[in-house]
Amino acid sequence: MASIDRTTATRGNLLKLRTTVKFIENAMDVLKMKRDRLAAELNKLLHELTRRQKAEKQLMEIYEDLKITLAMLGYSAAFSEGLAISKMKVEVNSVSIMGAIVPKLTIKEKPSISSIENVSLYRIAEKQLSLFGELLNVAQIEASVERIANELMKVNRKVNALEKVIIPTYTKQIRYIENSLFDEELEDFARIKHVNAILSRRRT
Amino acid sequence: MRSPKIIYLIARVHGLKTHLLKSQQFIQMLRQTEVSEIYDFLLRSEYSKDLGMISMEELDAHELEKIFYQKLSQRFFFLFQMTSGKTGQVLEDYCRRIEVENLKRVTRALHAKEKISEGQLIPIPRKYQTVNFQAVLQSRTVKEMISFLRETAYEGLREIAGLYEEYNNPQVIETEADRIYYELLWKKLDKIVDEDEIRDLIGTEIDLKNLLNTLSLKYKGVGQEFLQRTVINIHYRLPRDFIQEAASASYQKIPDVLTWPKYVELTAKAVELMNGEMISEAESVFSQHLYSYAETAALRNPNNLVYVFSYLYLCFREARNLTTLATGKQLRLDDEKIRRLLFL
Repeated sequence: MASIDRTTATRGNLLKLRTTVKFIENAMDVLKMKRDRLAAELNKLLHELTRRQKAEKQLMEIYEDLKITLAMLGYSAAFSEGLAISKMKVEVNSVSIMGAIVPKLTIKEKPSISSIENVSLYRIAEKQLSLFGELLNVAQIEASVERIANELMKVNRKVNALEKVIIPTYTKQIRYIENSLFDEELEDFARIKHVNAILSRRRT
Repeated sequence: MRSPKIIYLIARVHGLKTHLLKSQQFIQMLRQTEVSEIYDFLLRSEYSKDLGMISMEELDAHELEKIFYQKLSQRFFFLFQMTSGKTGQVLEDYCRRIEVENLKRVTRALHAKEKISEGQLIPIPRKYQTVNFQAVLQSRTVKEMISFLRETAYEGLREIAGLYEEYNNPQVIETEADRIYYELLWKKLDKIVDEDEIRDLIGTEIDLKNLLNTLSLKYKGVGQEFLQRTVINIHYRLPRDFIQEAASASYQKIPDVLTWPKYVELTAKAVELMNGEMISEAESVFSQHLYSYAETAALRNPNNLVYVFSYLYLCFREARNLTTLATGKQLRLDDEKIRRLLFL
């Protein structure tokens, strides 16, 4: 802000500063709009975070069933059955929400569980598979919340800096230049008046 | 008049059966809280020598399970030393179920392009192996594995290699291996001593396997064609047209297709459990019946060759029960839940 403080009080500088302030105020409005949009997006996603608890509860129920099946089959047989399941393929893309890059997960290929011979293990795999989509959604939501919150924090910091520091400094500077110019004009006016008085006295 | 060799075999099996753990001992183990306590308990049994090989640091249910199945394999193949001729051949064919299980494990791993080591298979003494597992384990694809099975009892798997590719499902190979195993065993039972009793026991097992397989596949919603291809073509007490009728019915309607009262009762019970989402318990219904059937057969025919086969079933039951106990305890399952899975 030192450069602003040292600006010489000229009409040109005043015009330049006024344009800059107008530009900064517009930028701040845009940032505020971005902040509101991010906050709205975050608010929407925060409600969806509760899905995690539900998914975790379902997962725990599946694990309880899995424990029983593992106890019945033993680790080796269950592990062997699990080996036959093909891998799941997930595509990770990025989507920009008001500048915040959030991940977008899409299941490209679901694992084939039809190769599981044991029916209880098959049922568990079936339940887990249906839950995988939800778990991916929850992961996507959590990552989005984190990134949007981070972006929101940055935008908020920028808006605050503009609102509380930069714009007041410029406004102060403009007021200083305006005051200086007014003083100069007043001084000139008084000087002209004084010169006019001397000149009229000489004429008489 | 039975041959002295068979009488000797039955007498030895009577002795060997006394080494099996009793229901009371399973209940005692059920009361333990830790896997290490089960380990301590088993140190006083026939397992002590094998358990001595595990250090306390690596003691867990998985390691114990390996020991249990190693012991099962030893028990199975120990009987070979006392048999010869037709009885020996039938016993050898019966014990191939371990080999079939190992083949299934390799198939699953190869299907998923995963590596599998010999340690993940149930050990079979080298001299009793009809499959070169060292070569099979080196295979890169299921097709390559099948090519290694030429000149073995599983040569028939080559014929369904195309079907496996069509369905892209290792279950095709697995059920075919089962079918080959049971059909071969069934054929070998011809004119064996005490054929009727042994056929009754093995026939019941095949029926129960077919029932469980049909129920499982129907529950999974598999198509009729696949279901018909994966069935063992031996119907002991199951109606001849069982598969055709079951294929077009829902899994809840399978008991209506059956005629043998015990099967109707068992299947209805399994369906009820499946409807209540107790799938593991539903599967246990069939195994439970098989083991109690084997136990009854042994009690009714103490001087019959079926006693030897009953003993082998009970060995299998013991391995399964011990695995359930060790795994259940490690996973901190409720005693009541473990109790429901035990075959007592």
